[in-house]
Amino acid sequence: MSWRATLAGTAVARRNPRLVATLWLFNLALALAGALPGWMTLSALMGPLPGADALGEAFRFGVLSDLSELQPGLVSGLGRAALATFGLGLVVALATTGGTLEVLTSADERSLAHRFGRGAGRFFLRFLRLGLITLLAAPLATGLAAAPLLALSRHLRRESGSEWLAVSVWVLAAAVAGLVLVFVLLVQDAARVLLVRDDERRVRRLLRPALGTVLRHPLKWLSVWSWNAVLLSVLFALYLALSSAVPPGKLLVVLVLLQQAFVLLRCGLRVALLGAEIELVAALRPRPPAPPAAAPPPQPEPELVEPPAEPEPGGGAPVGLG
Amino acid sequence: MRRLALLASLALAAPAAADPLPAHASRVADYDVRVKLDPDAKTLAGSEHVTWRNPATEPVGELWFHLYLNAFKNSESTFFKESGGQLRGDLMPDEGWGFIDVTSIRRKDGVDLAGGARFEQPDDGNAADRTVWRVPLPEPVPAGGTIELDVEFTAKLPRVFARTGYFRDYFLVGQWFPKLAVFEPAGARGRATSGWNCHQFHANSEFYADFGSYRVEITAPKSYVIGATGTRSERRDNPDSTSTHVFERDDVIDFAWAASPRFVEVTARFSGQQDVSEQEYAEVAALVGRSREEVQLTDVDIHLLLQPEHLAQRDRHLRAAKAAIKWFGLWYGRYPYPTLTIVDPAFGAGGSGGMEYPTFITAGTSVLLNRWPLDRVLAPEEVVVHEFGHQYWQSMVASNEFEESWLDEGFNSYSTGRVMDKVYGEWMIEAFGLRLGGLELSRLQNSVERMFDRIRTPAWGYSSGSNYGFNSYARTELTLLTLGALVGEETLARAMRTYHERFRFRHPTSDDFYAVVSEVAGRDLSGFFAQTTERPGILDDEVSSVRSEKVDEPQGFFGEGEGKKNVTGKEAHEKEKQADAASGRRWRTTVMVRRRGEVTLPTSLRLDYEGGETQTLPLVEQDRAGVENTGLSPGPASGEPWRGRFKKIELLSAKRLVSATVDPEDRLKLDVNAANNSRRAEPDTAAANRWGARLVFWLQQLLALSGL
Repeated sequence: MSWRATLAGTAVARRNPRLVATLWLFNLALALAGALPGWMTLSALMGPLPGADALGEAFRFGVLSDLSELQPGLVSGLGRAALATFGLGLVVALATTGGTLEVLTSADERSLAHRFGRGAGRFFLRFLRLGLITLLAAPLATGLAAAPLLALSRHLRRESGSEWLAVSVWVLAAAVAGLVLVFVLLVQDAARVLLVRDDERRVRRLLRPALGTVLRHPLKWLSVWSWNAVLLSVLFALYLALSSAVPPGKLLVVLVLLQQAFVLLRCGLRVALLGAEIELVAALRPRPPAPPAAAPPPQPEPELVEPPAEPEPGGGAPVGLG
Repeated sequence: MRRLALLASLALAAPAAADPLPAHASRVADYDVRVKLDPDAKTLAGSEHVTWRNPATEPVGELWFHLYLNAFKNSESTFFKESGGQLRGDLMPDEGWGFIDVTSIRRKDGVDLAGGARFEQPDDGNAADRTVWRVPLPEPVPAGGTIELDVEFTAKLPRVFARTGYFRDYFLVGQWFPKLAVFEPAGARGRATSGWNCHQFHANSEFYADFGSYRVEITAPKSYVIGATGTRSERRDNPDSTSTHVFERDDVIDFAWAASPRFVEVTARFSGQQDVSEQEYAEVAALVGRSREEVQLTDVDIHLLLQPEHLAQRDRHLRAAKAAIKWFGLWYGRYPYPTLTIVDPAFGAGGSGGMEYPTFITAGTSVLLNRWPLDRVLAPEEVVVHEFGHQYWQSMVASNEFEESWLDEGFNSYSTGRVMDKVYGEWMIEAFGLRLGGLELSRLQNSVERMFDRIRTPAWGYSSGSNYGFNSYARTELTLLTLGALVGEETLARAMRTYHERFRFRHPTSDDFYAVVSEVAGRDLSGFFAQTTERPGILDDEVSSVRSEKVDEPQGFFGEGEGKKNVTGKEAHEKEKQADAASGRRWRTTVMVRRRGEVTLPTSLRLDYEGGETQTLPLVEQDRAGVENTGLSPGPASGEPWRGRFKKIELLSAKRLVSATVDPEDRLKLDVNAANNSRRAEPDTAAANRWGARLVFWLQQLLALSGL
């Protein structure tokens, strides 16, 4: 079933190239907005300094540290910009996810822009409430799951004398934390799909069914996510291989094209994942059948009036003559 | 006064000549020690017979001892208070205290010396500190005379976090016995009067001791593998399931040992014949100005005590050890001992790693470095080379680590960097697309930290542990690299060789090093050291502005009387156009260089013109108020004099200037900021755009994590 859902999701992404492009544009626009101040600062700072050229070819700690000494606040400024971009991304993603789900689930024939905008606005606040719940639940769940193992790893590091054991337990702790986080995000995705499909206004009402859907079929959900993650890793490895073939300091346009091709395909994978999740929810938690149409109220039976009896021939009391 | 003495020594000194390596040290303190390890109680029960020779020309009426293990006795010790219970990031474990008690101290004839003995705190007056012990003598030891003592002691080893102690069944036993301090006669190390040099054990300090011979009998359970300073001359199995191992070594300042049943012992041999080629011998002999015979190396047996899980790194450790024996020996003088023992600390006892003792060093590594991709992180190699290097700078040239830590740590950082570059190349870390070199790491500290104290500061006198680390290690390394660039690599190589040869088995000071370098370089370099090691000055030369403009044709009235001519603007512009067409117009180039720091060293300015032409101008320092000339520049006639903080260079050129670079060959490694050493006349944003594109890409990945 999960394989079917994955294929369905991939097909959905292929059928909606303009949706994928829309997501890529949002991503690029926000990244550019976040990068622009830092980019301009770096241009002004690095432009006159041939000694900074090495930074254009590879990441050099020494050069960056020298530049940050010439421009105090450079590195912290870049950090703040990254943080702000991430925060804005979290908010904008609420809208774009709503828009994407609406496009993928609605049956009407209106334009992409209309459907996307409708979904982005309609579900924004509900997704926001759901997101806040996730923001609280994620660290709690991962902490509860990983903390005992981390404490054990710390103890083993100090007392066991076995490096392999200490390292293994630490790796296990990280894996458990990662797995729990993935499940929390999958529950969020399931809730979002249900919310859009059923147009449910009360978010908390959907948490339980979403949780149940995911936890009752963990392997199916995990395998859908894993396929997507594997494809993403392959894409990233391909990007790294191709980008490392670009000579350092040259062919900037080629590098940028490679970067954006990767981001575009990544957006496609995001749409594919949502498509797969829609398919999975439909299979695991079918939409409840529409209630039967209410029977009309019974009409009062019309009174049957017996026709007067026909007089019997030759006999009988005369009727009315006298 | 010091400058006059240096100049006098220069005048009287013969030209730099090869000094023979001393065969032996003057033995001052000999130890014959017996110790038994109780691995369950983590205790030592020991006795030592000590013979001390008075090196002074006057009688000495007391003896001072180091009882280093008492630094771990309680939270009130000076070490604990200064360190906050940590060293190099390793925390003191709970209930991991240790101590040493001298239970008896008698003269050889049985006279009890304990009665008048008391603890001293010469550095900070902390009455709770018990690391310095003063023992008055009933009769003084005459000049040149000897005294023999019998000392009984017990020790509880601390749990390892600061060099010495135990962890489960692993024991690294360093600074473990009552050790005599150094008595410095008047004149030694610049002393006006003779006296004991005996400092408390501080968080940032290491050790200082006299040369002597050691014979140590170590009794431990039979299953334990023992490694120690020196050579094992005997092993006896005892009836109580213990074994006694006897180690001996002459001409050393200390003795340390390790014991564990888990050690896997690997042996190898460095061969002076096979591991060094004739070409290498010839090249080094030429470099250091010595004969082929004088640079000949001898064989060394290497004993590597590895943890079983690190066996995959066995060859890495051995290769590093051989490389260190080879290059330190070739550059500074052959390693005189027949053995080298390397200990790989147990997991959980990392605090005992990265340490040096005579002929015995501790390394340190991780299972994560066994395989790709982290096997290209050269951490174990760096540690082995560095700790071996201390055989030269600390064990043989036995400077006072308390008072002049740069003479061993900084010199060793410099030498270690040279060996690593020679054998392994530029990169110390090469993994996941990241590259980091050892020199880059040192320069990174120089730029970012900026914690400039006087390099020649007592170890406990630095304002923080980080300051101690930076100034003693990286900044000294960069200073020596800069010195080498200025006097010439060959001159510095010969100076370092001469310094080692002259002070092997002795206790030099910073002034001794300055004098040797000046002697070998043939000029007074006290000005260089005054700026770089004696003061916390910063070197930061910068090209602060660059301008290159076309020279306009003159306009206006020229000449007098009848011959007066008027050159109109139109005529001038016409001439300029013609000159442009013929590419004959000249450029007025103005470059401003600035010293942002206090250190002034001779350098040069390279001007790069359109078409690829370059022009280099030497910039020689002139005396600024309060700043000594370094003695390095040949004189103002050979270059542009640079007086003051700014220097403006104006010249006419046929081509437009593209960029100007101060110190174009990057010789002055001490410069805290290399990025401002060059400047373009016109900005070029190609590198910034490339970085900007990367920035956008990584922000896009961050946004993908947010769900977008």
